[in-house]
Amino acid sequence: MNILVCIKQVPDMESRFKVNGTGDWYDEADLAYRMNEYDEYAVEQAVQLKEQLGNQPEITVLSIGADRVGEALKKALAMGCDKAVQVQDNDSARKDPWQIANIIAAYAGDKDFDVIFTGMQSQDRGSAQVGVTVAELLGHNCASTLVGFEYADGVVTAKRELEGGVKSVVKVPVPALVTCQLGLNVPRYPTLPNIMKAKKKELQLVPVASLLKEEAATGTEKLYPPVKSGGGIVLEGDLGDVADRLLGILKEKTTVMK
Amino acid sequence: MHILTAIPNCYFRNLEHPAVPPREEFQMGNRFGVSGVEQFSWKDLLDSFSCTECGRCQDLCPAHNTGKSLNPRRVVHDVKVNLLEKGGKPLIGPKGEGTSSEESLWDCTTCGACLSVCPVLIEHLPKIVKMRRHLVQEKARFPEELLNLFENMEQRSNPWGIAPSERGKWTSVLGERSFKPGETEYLFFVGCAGSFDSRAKQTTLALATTLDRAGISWGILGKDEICCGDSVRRLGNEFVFDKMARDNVAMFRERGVKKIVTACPHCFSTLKNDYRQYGVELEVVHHSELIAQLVGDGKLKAPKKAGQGKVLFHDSCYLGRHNDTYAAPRAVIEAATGASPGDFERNRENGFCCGAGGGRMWMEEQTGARINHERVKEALKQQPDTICVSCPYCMTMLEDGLKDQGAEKVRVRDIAEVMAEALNDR
Ligand SMILES: Cc1cc2nc3c(=O)[nH]c(=O)nc-3n(C[C@H](O)[C@H](O)[C@H](O)COP(=O)(O)OP(=O)(O)OC[C@H]3O[C@@H](n4cnc5c(N)ncnc54)[C@H](O)[C@@H]3O)c2cc1C
Ligand code: SF4
Ligand code: SF4
Repeated sequence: MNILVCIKQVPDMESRFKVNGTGDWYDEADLAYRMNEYDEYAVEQAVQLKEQLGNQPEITVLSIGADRVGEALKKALAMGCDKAVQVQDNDSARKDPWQIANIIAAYAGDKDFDVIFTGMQSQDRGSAQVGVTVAELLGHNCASTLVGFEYADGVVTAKRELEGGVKSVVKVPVPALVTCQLGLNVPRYPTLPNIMKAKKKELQLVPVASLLKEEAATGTEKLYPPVKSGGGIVLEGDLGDVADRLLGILKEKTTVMK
Repeated sequence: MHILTAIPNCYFRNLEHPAVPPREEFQMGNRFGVSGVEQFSWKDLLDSFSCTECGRCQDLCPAHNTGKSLNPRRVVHDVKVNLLEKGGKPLIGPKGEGTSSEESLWDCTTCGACLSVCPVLIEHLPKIVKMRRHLVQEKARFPEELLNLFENMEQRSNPWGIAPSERGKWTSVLGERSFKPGETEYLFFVGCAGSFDSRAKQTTLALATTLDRAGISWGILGKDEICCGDSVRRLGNEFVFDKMARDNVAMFRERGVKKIVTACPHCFSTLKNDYRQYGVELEVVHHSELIAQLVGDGKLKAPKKAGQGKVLFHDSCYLGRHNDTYAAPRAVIEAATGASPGDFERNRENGFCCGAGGGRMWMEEQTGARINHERVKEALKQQPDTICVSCPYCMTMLEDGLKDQGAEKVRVRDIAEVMAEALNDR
């Protein structure tokens, strides 16, 4: 069995974001990067599947981006992936989900992956398009927003999270692509021997131009913080006093006490 | 047997500080931590044969005292039994003679009480940390709360996981206070609690204004400061500690830092004792020592204002037992209030931990009574108005404990706050 996991490296969401000079994305200076949270669930699930099948499957982990994505790939290798592919692209932030999906599909096209894991969405762009588009381009079966994953005899049983707390269970024969949601699993903390072993695993470099033939389908016009609509009030001091002042404000400025 | 080994055991005691675990080498093929008795050092093994089973360590151990599974006497005893049975039993596993349970290893607050009372100088603590190292680094097996902690430490260099850019924010009321190489005398190593915990930030400000009053030249690293690594080291995550220590030492060298003041005994002990293993000799002072010295030198007038009512002083393990500093914080309180503080029943070398050391600050306390409740009850017997502390973790634990006991009217104050308050209403 061949498994592919697609991971994106995203800025730490606790960072302070500034709009970049061209006004179409965030400024990358001073940001610390990490693996997209949803992609950690994807890596964990892939490794669990490998373990379930007696460590027989080979897991390839792929990331598109500048050299810094090597850090995220290393973490995935330390968690248990077998080999890494960096599609080298210093301008990946300007690629739209259609192009990203096409790059992944072009890479995966001739490699017979049985199961492909992606995150449900990225923490920075949040389009939730890439996984499902890859499945469409490859003609794979697809289930999105997984909170449960089982595999037996060539069929994935996927538990999906729907609106309003409702879940659905679908059976997806391989080749299949699934997108992973919070709650699917608890990503493992890599052990030190595995961190050391990861340093020796293969990292393949592929220039983006060799895979990308598509134009962007969408473009970013402008990125800006929402206009400030009135400031917040911070009430400080003695609790009882704060409650009285809050009550005053609610009576005066809102209708909730009427 | 212990009669034969006890004397050489005292002779071969660790010349480094016993609370400082040895470094590890991170090379392919190495083993990390201790999972079998043969991986212990010969001193660890000699220790196990020297025990007189007097039980003093267990009597003072905060974990054992509150009904948890850890018993330092048993840890030492189990190492011996395991060795005698030639490793026929697991060293770490289901509780039984010769085996320490994982749960018991996580119970330790690294308070050092066991080390300090042992008549034959047995070093329990490094053994516990070595076994934790195995669990964390080779097995990734640890209480689930720690996953978040480790990630916060690796990603944002602080236990709270707050953005590093927020670190220097507390200075907003004071103006720019960066450490300037060659100009500033003291690096104020604020620490994570002092930078991010809203209660501890008040201590930070109190110390800053007190130093200003004494005309001391100080500055901070702001967003470039990273955690000292105390919690991760005591928790056995030596790999992450090692990186933090190397980064910190490199930054101190680059900025020409020689003197450091800190209000946190954990930063204090780590920078002073642990970083020696990384080839730096820093002149690190805890704020109690610096303030006491400034009063002694006449740079701060002792205000002697009795505004705190009846004061009890709680010894922090990492200032007291681990660094033998008992007089300085008491001297600060005396200078501020005009009277030396009262003592807990268990004080100084026999002090009782607040429960937060050894990374316990970041873990749930699942079994037995709460250590901070025990300590607070001990205080309440004397009906104090104020409990004075010298550590941000003690502050949190005692304030929480007082709240839980319905005794919020008892205040908890850091020694720097007591001094700043007294100086302000002179
Ligand atoms: C899953 C779930 C389902 C529930 N279902 C029900 C239900 O069906 N019916 C029911 O009666 N209760 C329900 N509850 C309980 C109910 O939601 C809470 O008990 C209630 O909202 C608590 O109100 P509070 O003001 O005491 O709480 P708080 O949590 O203290 O405050 C709530 C809000 O007050 C404001 N606030 C608080 N602190 C500050 C501050 N420092 N500054 C400014 N604003 C502040 C914020 O807007 C905050 O969101 C449910 C709770 C949960 C978790
Ligand atoms: S260091 Fe403290 S908590 Fe740990 S075993 Fe010794 S006495 Fe008990
Ligand atoms: S205090 Fe020392 S000698 Fe006494 S029981 Fe504990 S380890 Fe043994």
